[in-house]
Amino acid sequence: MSGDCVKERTNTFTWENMKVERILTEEETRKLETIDVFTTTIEPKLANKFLKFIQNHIPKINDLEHVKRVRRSQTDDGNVNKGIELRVVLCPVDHISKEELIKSLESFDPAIIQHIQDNLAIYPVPKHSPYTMSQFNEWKSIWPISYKRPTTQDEELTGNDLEYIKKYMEIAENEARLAQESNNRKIGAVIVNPQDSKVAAIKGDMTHSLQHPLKHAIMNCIEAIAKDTAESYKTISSTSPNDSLHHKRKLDESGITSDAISAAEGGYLCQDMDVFTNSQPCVM
Amino acid sequence: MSTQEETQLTLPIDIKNDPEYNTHIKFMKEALNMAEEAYQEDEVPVGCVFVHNGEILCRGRNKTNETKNGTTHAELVAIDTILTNENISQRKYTPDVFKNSDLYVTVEPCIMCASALRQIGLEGVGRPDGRSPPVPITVGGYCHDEAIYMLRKFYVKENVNAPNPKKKANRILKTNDLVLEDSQD
Ligand SMILES: [Zn+2]
Repeated sequence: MSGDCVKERTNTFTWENMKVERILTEEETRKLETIDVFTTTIEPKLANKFLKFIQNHIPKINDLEHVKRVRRSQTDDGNVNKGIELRVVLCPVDHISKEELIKSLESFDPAIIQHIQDNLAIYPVPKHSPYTMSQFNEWKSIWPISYKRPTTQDEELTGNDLEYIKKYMEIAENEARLAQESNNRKIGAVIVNPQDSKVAAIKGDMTHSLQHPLKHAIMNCIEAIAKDTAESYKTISSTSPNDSLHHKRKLDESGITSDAISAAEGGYLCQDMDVFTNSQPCVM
Repeated sequence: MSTQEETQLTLPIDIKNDPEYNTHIKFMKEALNMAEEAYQEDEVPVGCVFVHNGEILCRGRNKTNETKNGTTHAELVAIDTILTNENISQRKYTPDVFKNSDLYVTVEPCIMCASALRQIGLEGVGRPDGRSPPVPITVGGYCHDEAIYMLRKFYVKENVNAPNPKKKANRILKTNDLVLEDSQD
């Protein structure tokens, strides 16, 4: 890993040969994981009463809100319940021992305890709430689950997103070329505040020009933003509160209007900002 | 040293019998002094020194609040004092100086700093189990309890610079499980 954290891109960048793909999150790419739970069957006419009972007598199931409590399935052994079987999730096997579970069910109805015990079985159910529709469709085959489309889920990239990405990727690429002209590595980075699409910093690699192996483009951007932010903190503390902070924009050396004040107001360090760079960032 | 118990259990050598024990303690105390300085400035109290040819090359301590830069950890701050941006041609050392230096730091370096240390060429110390070390510094345990004490005393006070400062009035600084050489306040 030492020293070679960034590989030089061999092909020249053109927007036309570039395909923008959204990198899927861990939740979106997650494969089915299961957790074992105790289940039992219950006669449909007792189902409501039983569900109320277990709510009060069995440890609550945390993090399994997506798992439906009851699975309804057709049985073909022609039993008295018109071929309908209701299987109920009791609780995860690691929460309680089988003996404890049976004991806590005893007070429900002594008459059916035998039935419950005979039908007690361990079933795997999806451990995580499905994040995408295809996860939902796949996972529900092992046990019924519910699906709520996450409100924060990223949609496909739209034309506007592509324009946004294209604009700043080109700036990053241009900065990379400038870095290379000064014998640095051909890497550039732009940090943008997506709230107002304002550029917070544009910097290239400076490992050669500063004779400093850690002056990577992104680190340089972070440093520049920090300097602006620290300065604007000083400005804020030295001006009267009546002054409008928004009039204190300044120009940085690259001639880009940087709104350091909004960065300072905007919260904690570079939180929620977007980075554009032409080379995959190193571990640092 | 962030997982203290683990460090204690997996110490590669009997540190009291290490012929360089006194040297290590001397430099660890210097690193702890830097951490103390950070503590006094309401920074997360992490300090370090780089040692070159038996002498302190540079010192650093966490400055993330002061600089508004989340990357100004002790290690990077110390490196920057040698590789300053001004008067590059008049620098006393080239970046290669770190290839023959040792680092003493009060907490195990984070992944960013670990990567930085590799990139400046700090040599790794092999672990006795033969696995490659996660960071170039693997000998731990010197001033172990003092280092823990430093972090504990920080975490019982309110961090006014945290995004959501927590009230910690009822937290107690626990020391009875630590062996501290000097009585500290
Ligand atoms: Zn660090």
